[in-house]
Amino acid sequence: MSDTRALVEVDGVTKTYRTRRNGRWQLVRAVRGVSFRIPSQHIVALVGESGSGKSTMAKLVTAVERPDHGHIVFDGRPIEEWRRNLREYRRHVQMVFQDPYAALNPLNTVRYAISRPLVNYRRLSQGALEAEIRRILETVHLTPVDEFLEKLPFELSGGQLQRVVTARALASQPRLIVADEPVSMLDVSIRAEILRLLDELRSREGVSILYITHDLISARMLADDIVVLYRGTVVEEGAASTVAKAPRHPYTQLLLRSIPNPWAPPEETAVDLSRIDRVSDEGGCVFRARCPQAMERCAEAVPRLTAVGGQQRVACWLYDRAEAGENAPEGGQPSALRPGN
Amino acid sequence: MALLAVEHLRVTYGAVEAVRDVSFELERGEILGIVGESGSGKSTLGYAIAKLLRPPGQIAAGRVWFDGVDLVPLRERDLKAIRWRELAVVMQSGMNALNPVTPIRRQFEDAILTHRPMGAQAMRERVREMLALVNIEERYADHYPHELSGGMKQRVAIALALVLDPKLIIFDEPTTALDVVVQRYIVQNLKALRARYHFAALFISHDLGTVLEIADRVAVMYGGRLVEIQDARALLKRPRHPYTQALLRCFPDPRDERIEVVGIPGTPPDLADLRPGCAFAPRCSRAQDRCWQETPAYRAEADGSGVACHAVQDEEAVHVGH
Repeated sequence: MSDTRALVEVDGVTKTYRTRRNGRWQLVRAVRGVSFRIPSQHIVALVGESGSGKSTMAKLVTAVERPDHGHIVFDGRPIEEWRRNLREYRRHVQMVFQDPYAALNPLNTVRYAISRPLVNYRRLSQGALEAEIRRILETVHLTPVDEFLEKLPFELSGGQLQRVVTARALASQPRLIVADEPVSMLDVSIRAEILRLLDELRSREGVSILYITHDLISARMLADDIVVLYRGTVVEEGAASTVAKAPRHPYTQLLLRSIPNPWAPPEETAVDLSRIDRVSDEGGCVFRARCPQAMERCAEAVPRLTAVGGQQRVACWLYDRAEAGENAPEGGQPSALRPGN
Repeated sequence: MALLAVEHLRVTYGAVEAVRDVSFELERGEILGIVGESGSGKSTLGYAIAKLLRPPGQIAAGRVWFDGVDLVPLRERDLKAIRWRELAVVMQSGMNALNPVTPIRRQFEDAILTHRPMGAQAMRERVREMLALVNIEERYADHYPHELSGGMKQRVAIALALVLDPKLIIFDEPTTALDVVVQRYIVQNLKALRARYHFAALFISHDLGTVLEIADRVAVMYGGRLVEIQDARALLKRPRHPYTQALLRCFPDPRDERIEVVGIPGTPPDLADLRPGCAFAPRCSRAQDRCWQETPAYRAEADGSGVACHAVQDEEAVHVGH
């Protein structure tokens, strides 16, 4: 995370949904004051489980949803400004979805799927269009190209479909690709080829990638930086190798310990089963109800992201040594701390 | 006598042969993991054993000996006496298998009253005991499924499978739709439950890492066939089949200093493809001419292991010969 201007800067973003549950209206605080940045040509992984707010973050960054509070800046311009020309924004920010079977129209050929963004965003036609379709299919390794051009989605495997979806995302020459669980529906043996492809796109096409996943290991394989979300809050962030190998936040540690690991002796992977269904009340640390190391202080105030060495930052009272009140002036806090959000 | 003996089982969906000549045995109290990717036939195998195939799926050949009785010719009426009491199933969408308009307690009571009736007091006690087993507070017994989280529902489904103390439980991808922490929880919990109730289980999953943790022995399927069975610890150390070796490399040890992005080149097999030869040959680094023509037979050994691969069988034959 360099000091130069990042391609994407997310600053104190909050998103709350109203849903009806058992006949009562409830507020779901999907994202509570999230900040992170995606430097140019970087891959940043947002890692979290269900309810972490990672997919809401994808919708916010792609301008599908608007934040209630906070700001998202893309290429130096606030997203609200980009909204006046969403078409231009979408040209720069594309998405790869989880389910490649659902992301493509079953009645359209590969050629057609790739040609649409080329016609719509880049106004290509005839010879230039044909040449660009071929170039893009080669970029995603759907070769020999002639074997794939006229294929319909049902004739392709899951891995091949995800390449088509990725090719379509590339067609508008985006600067950012938001990939929401792009390999979780694929067979384990073909996930690697899609992860490698995303890595190639970063180095060869110069795109930045926001990789959204529940899988800490694939995040470690692919990303430069990892941002760990729990219930809408960034609990830990830093270089991918550090966060996924030597996490400091009790939640990230639990996540790492929970990964299937037949190599480790059982006592190394055993987790405390008694707190799993607990949900923290409002105020205080979002993880405290499940945290084996929770202290009184954790219920009193929200811990801030604190540097614990290198780029690694953790939001946990175990590391936040500042006295409550002393270094925590109103307004100097991330917006998660502001009342009324 | 083994609790379950599957003999030369073939399952077809019309022209597609999803399970091809599968044979294996399961001992009482044993957990056998069945691992495979999409199109391996692993789930079809589970459904066939439980006799839950839906048309056009049907058992085309073979036997399924369960506790001395061949389930294949049994009718629905006779199966009813066995299902749940003797043989229970937990599915991937187990959480969605719960009846949405019935409180949790009623679902336990319905199972008990249908298959093994008991008095109201005993039944109440049993429901409490079963929920406690999967760490769910008794107050949730009077909740509806939608009031529980996905992980809690899957645990209720497991408790529901256990309520009549069956000899065999078939788990079909029971952890796949769950968060990783909840998966860990289920794996840990299941081991403890098995130690207490001594049920045998088929644990079907695409996740070799999880299966290796929970199973005593692991069966690996590819293209509808069994390609290898080994003791879980032995398979982790010395996988024999080239597919098992390649698949294992896709699951790195999270503690490793370096983790490489490893996959298997090529595409998973198409079950509609009925050509002879080994289904893994197109992706196999050790494939010889013979592998394209001749399907390698699964050779079972006395210790319950076995492998179906020309290269491995030739190589091991040479070693034995010396």
